[in-house]
Order: sequence, then structure tokens, then C-alpha cells
Amino acid sequence: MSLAVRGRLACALLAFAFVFTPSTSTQERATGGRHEGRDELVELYELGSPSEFVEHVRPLLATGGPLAKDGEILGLFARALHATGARDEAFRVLDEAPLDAQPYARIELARARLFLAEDRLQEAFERVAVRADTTLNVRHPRDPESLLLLVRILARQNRFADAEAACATFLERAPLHPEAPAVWHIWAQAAVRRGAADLAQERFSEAQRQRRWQEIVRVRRLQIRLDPDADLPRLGLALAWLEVERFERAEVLLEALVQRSPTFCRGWRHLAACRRMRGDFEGAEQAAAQARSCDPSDPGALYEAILAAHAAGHADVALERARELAGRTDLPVDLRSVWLVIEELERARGNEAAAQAARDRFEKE
Amino acid sequence: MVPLLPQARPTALLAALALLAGCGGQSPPPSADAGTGAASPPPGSLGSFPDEAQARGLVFHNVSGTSAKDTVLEANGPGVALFDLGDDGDLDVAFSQGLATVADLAAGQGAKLGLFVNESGRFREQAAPARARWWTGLAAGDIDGDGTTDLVAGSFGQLVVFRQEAGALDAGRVVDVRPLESKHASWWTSVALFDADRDGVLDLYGGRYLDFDPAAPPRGELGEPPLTVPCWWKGQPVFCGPRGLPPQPDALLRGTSPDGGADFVDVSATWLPQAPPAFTLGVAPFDADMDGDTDLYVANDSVANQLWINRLDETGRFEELGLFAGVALNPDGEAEAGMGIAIGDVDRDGRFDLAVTNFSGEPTQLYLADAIGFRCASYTLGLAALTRPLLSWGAHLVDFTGDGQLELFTANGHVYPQADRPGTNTRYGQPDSLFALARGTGTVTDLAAALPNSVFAAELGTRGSAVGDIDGDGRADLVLARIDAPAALGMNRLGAANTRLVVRCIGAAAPHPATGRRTPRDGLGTRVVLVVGTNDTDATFALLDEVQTARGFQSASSHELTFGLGRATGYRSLTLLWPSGRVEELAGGPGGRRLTVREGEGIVTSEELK
Repeated sequence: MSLAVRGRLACALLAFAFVFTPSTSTQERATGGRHEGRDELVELYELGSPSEFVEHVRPLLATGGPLAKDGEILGLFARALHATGARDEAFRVLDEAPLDAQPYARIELARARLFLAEDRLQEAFERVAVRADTTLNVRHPRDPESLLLLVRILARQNRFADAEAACATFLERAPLHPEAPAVWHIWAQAAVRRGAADLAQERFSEAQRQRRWQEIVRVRRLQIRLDPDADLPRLGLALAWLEVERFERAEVLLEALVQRSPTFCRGWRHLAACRRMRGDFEGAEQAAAQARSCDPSDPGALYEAILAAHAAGHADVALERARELAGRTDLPVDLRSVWLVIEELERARGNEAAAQAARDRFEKE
Repeated sequence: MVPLLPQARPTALLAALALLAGCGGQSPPPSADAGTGAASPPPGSLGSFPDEAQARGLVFHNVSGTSAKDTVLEANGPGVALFDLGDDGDLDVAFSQGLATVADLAAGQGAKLGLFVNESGRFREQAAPARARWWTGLAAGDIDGDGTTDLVAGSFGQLVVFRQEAGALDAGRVVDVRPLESKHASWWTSVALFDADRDGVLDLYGGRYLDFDPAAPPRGELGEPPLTVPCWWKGQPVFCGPRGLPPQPDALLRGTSPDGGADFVDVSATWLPQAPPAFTLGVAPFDADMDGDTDLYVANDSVANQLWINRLDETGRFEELGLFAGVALNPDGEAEAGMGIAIGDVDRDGRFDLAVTNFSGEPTQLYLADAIGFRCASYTLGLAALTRPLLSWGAHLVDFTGDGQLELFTANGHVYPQADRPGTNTRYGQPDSLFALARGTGTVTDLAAALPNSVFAAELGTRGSAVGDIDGDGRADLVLARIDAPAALGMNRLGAANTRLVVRCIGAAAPHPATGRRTPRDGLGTRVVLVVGTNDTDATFALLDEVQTARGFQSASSHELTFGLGRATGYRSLTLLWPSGRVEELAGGPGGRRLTVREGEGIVTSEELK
């Protein structure tokens, strides 16, 4: 790996530490004993560069260390080998995986993935589930990947009715998994086949909405890889997480962004919003203050400072700032709701006439 | 809700349909051994399928930009059309042609079509109309109702109608289509002639691809910095598109002049309201819901495919039902890079099935008509594993072997020369494929592997493909348009022991008195049910096909239907469901014939196959 690539990987690692593994918590990711660039490697695979992944992982596995017993990495390595045409080696990697690889379920599930890629549906099914009377039980119930594979296998066998329960459970446990849109789609097909058109439409729509979101995340990650020094893609990635109300993930990205680019004022503003939405009102006020200091002319920063003060219970400060913003002649259209904030604050103070006047002003504008 | 349930069928057809396996409900997997009476030939005894292009004078070399393929325009390649020029009863060939560089296109240059006349099985190049473009898709049909086949050619920029007059194509006339909002030139891809409103006049569907500026083609990355996206594939820089470039909307044009001087009017806004722009590459008209009118399946690159159900009678427009019918996305809900389309009744259940080709890493999908919509059979039959390494374009579901079961042909070849680098799990040059969809085992087998010296052996890049009986022996031959390479002519010599029957349909000159509808002169949209077998010892089975020319990718096949009867020597009945609404049931007869059936008059000619 070239130094330039290493540098890019290191930079990107800062922002991606918690991205794209919805079933894995932040804490799990941060625990020790893992290879330093592990998440970056996972990203390499997820962004569609299996040959690069193989190139990077092969020497790391050869030297032993934590990756050699990392069930997920071994599974991805086998899948990447298979995707690049090294079929036999892919199966051999799984066959020779150490029994203490963790989580070992990922070895088994990777084998099921390979079977799936070869249309060996029954063999894939047997790796993933067991049939007990009239029910299907997954072999690795703790791992949502297990449910995901079961759903995919059943869909390819046109057994949509059998897949419905697994779809529901998977989406409950891993709602933002990169492959969640596929499960929504399969769930919708199941509804089609039992004549539930409205339900099917809802599920198709959700599949489409999720796919669009996943695509935004994917593109932002690609953009960051292309230009690790650019702030906008990093902000875009954080906003994508905000959109789905994953405030902790968004906050990690935004904090990293303002640390590396303290003069990127929009970063502070969105950090304030993020903290406010997750209930850290004091932190929100601090970030909003930074945003105002960074760009005093930005009405958006002032608006965020109003909301932060309001949420923190500093009504007087909020009202004073709100009046300041409302009095600006260049009040942007999307900030006219400041009049509603004034209405609420005035009403809380018992100033009904002032509250009504603010309401009238909002409706007039 | 889902309107693809089998509709009420004409009484005369019911008896024939009763013979089709698995009518309604779940259909069994297709099995070639089920009832054909023809043991499937083991590999090695299939026969042969040689490339005789050179020997027969079909010498055409496509030019499509540079070998580096720096832009998406250079990668899509040519189409081909089989049609009868001169009304002498045999099939002639037209190829679309490109230019040596995109800069040539930007400078206003163009190429002429390639035109080859069939003279007793040998081809002679004929001067093509002078009009010069970077040609793309070709469609064939009798648009002016004069009994001869005309040609519509798509290009980068224009759709052009070439009418056949006195045995030659005229100079061509540009079709008037509403301009794009983007102000870019239209990039036409596959075009299809079909009769949407059953007035006997052919209408025209034009697929369009994306906004592309030949003077400033996108290179390296898309978007303005810092929000740029690299044009990468498997970690390698490649040409940009289609993702990231604006798709163009398709157009639907109504044919308006039944008595010569054919004209088209853009009815996209009324017949296809709110159709999203979708990187169209393939278009195939067929009767998806078996209600007697013609629907459309549209294959789109990297976005959802569309199934447009014809509701002109009920609502005055087409309705898009691909998602609900299960043919918009793959079973995982992912859009694939749809390229070409094949239509046929694979499992012989009396409903049309479809195959759509895709990018490498994505299988060719086979969708079988089901009780509701379609079900994907690619994975259960093993087709997915065989086709995943291929990037496929043209496709045909045709009985090449004559045993009564359809095979799937796919034209293959990658768009990225970088595919030859290590680790891609694919190749730039790829051999074409011929799949037996089931031979009693419930799985797919690659027949091409058993034909080492055939037209399938060359590892090039086939794009357009057309099917038709070139030499009059009743077997479906293949004409292949290859990018940056000589065209191929695959002469079908498979299944020598099997009986064939060729049917040509001609619509009546006047509308059906009971319905007021009229069949197009060249029979497009006519569904034909052939019940095979002549005596009690013959296996009896029924075959369904539809007269359409727009199949595959950017190409037009013969409008004659070629049936394989297996070892049976004849057929018990021949039923024609004309678009006019007339149902014509004809008595059985011997195989080994080429029949011409004129609507309302029965068989008007019957010639022995060569």
C-alpha cells in the first residue's frame, strides 16, 4: 500500500469508525484487540473493491494477529476472493478458519453467502436455518446477518410467505443495515403474493426510501475517499445520519469535522442541532456559540442558538435572540418559523397579545 | 390490485391451452423431456452452428469509437435488423454503424447504415441511404401498410424512418419528437414498432439513454468538487455513466397514417404519463397479461425495469406495474443494468415469460409468468451462476434445436476493456451463450460449450442480435452485430432429426367487422398457438408465440415464427389470435412447411422447407 493511500486510509478512518455496521455498537467497535485499520478494510469491501480488499488483507492474515481470528474479516476475505474469481481459495479460507475465530457465526454465514452466489440454495439454507416442524429457526439467532441470508434464500426460492417473519425480525433488529432495502422489497413481494396491495405499496416505498438513503451514504463515503480533505462530503455523511435520527453517529462525525476544520462554520451549526436533538442542550448551546462566533453573519447559526437556548430553558436569552433574528430584513424564508418560536416564548411568559402578534406575523409572511 | 392474473380467453383457445402444462397456479419447472417425444441430444450430437458470415458475403465491420472506450457512447455498440427488402421472401440485413471517435461525432460527421441483400443465401452489400449518423437501434415493420417492411433507425440525435419503395429504402425522414427539456441531443437506443391501439397502424416506442455531450464527454469523475464521484469499477478508473449522468425519457409515438405516407405523433404525455427517465436500453412489446393487446417491457440500465400494461381501452394510457409484477428489480430488490430482452413461453403454460440480460456480476434474469405477476427462476434453475460473470446484451428465447423447448441465447461482451485486468472475475471479450433451460434435470446447461467451432466460440463483444431463417430450412439462424468487430452469421444446424414449422401471419386489409379493430398488415401482435402431434403415438403439446420483431438489444428479428415439433411429423391444430379480435382455428397438417396465413382466409401458401 502506498504512503498516499495509507494517509488517505488513516484520514478516512477518523470519520468512518462507526459507519455501516448498524448491528455493531460504537462501544463494540472501540474495544481493544482489533487491528488498527480494521474498519477501513471493511469499508474497502463495502465500497465495492474486492480485489483491493484481497490485496490488503492477504498479507495481514499471513502475519497472524487479530485479523486472523476475526470472523467478520475472514468471511469478507472469502467473499472478496470469490468475487474476484478465486472460488476454491475462498472456500478453503473458510474451511481453514481457526475454530476460535470470533464471531465464528460469520464464517458459517460467509459460507452460506458463497453458496448463495453459486445458486446452491439448499446448501445455503442448511448453513443458515433448520426446519422444525412448521417453523424455521436460524442457526445464529444473535446475528441479524443470519436472518438476512434466510430472507434472501427464501426469496430466490420464491418462498415469500416463509420469508415474512424473518423480514420483520431482521428489520426490527437492523433497520439501517446496508441490505435492509432488499429485505423491505422482499417483504413487499410477500404482500403482493397474498393480495395485500396497500401493504405492499407501503413496503415498496420504504424500500425505495431506504435505498435512496443508503445510496447517499455510499456516495458520501466515496467522495470522502476521493478527497479526504474536503469538508462538504463529511458534513453530508453526518446529515444522512441525522436524517434517520442516529444522533450519536452523526455527532461523532460532526465533532471530528469541526476538530479538523474549526473554521467550517456549518459544521458547528449542525453539531449544535445534533446535540440539541439528542438532548445535550448545554453542548448544543456551546456549539451554537461557536457557530455564531465562526460566522456572525449566518442567520442559521443565530437560529440554532435560539433553539438551543430555548431547549436549555434559557427563555429570556432565546427570546432576545429570536427578536434579533426576526428583525433582520434579510430573514431567509426557511427561518420564518422564528415567529412561531417567539409566539411560544411570549405565550409562556403570559404575553398573549405579543404571542398572537407573532403568530399573525408568521402567517402574513 | 395486481392486474396480471390470466384474463378470460377466447373459447377456441381454451382447448389448445388445456394442453399446455401447468395452466394457472404454480407452474412446474420447465422440462424439455416433458411431452416432446424428443430425447434431448447429448452434448456432441447437437449438430453445429457455424459462423458463415464471411462465406456468405455478410462482411460488415462495426466501428464504435476507440478501443480504449473512454466514453460511454463508445461502449454500447451496434444493432441489427432482419427484414425482407424487395419482397422476395427472404431475409436481408441492416446494421447500425458508429464512428471512429466521439470527436468525429462532435464535428458533425456520421456513418451510413450497413445494408446487405440476400441472394439465394449469399449476401451482397447494397448502397445504403445517404443519411449519416452514429446509428444505434433498428426496428422493422410495415409502417405504411403497403405490404413491405420498413425500417426505423435510432441514432445519437434522431429517429429516422426509412420507407421501403420499389425494393429499396428511401432517403429517410426524421421523426418529429418533442425536444428534451435538457436541450441535449436524444440518445436513442432500442426502438420498437408495435400496434398499441389495434388500429392496424404501427406505433413506435423509442428508448432513450442519457444526456451526453460529444464535445465535452465526462471523464474521470462526475460532479463539481468537492462533491465529485469517481468513475470507478472494481477499484479501476473507467468511463463515466450511466450513474451520475442525467437519464433521458423514452418516447411513445402513435402511427397515424394507415394509407401510405406514414407519420408519427408523439403521444408520450397521454399514453405514458409521468414515465420517469430511466436509461432505457431494451424494449420488447408482448402481451404480458394475455388480454389481446400489446404491453411493453422496458429494460433500464441501473434503475428499475418497467412493465407497461396496455390500458388504452380502459383508461387511455399505459400503466406501469413492473414492481408489483416482480420484474422491475431482482429478487433482492436491487435494480440491475437491464440491457436486452427475450420473450417466450418457456414452461409452456400458455403465458409469456421473459428474460432480461444484465451487467457482469448480475445474472441474466428469467421471469416466468405466475398466478400473480412473474416469479424469478434464475436461481432455482442455476441460470444465475452461469450468467453472473457475463455482461449480456441481445437475448432470444427461441427453439433453436427444434425439440419443442425454448433455448435462451445471450449476446455477451463487456463494456470496460479494464475487465481483462486481474481480479475482475470477468473478461472484456466474451463468447456468446446458448442455454438449454432444462433438460429433464431442472437445471440450465450451456449448449454453446458443446459447440466448440460454432459462432458461439469467438470471444468478442456482441451487442445486437437478430433471429430469422436465413436459408429457408425452417431453423432460426442468428445474425450478430459485434462491437469493433466483424458481424457474425450463425447458421443453425442443430437438431437435424426434429421437425420444424414456420408461420408467417398477414393481417386483413379491413378492420374486423365485429370489433372495428384491425391487425397490422405484417401481423405484429398476432398470437399463435400450435398443438403439436399428429397421431396417438406422438407426444402432444402446445406451443405459444407472438409475432413481434423488437427483441434483444437495439435489434429487429424476422416476423416469421419458427416452431420446433420435436419428433412429431405434424401438428393437430393451429390457432391464431389476431389483434383485430378475430380467432382463427385451422386444422392440423404436416410439419416441414413454411405457412403463410392471411387473416380470415386461412393458409394461403404452404411451401416445403429447404
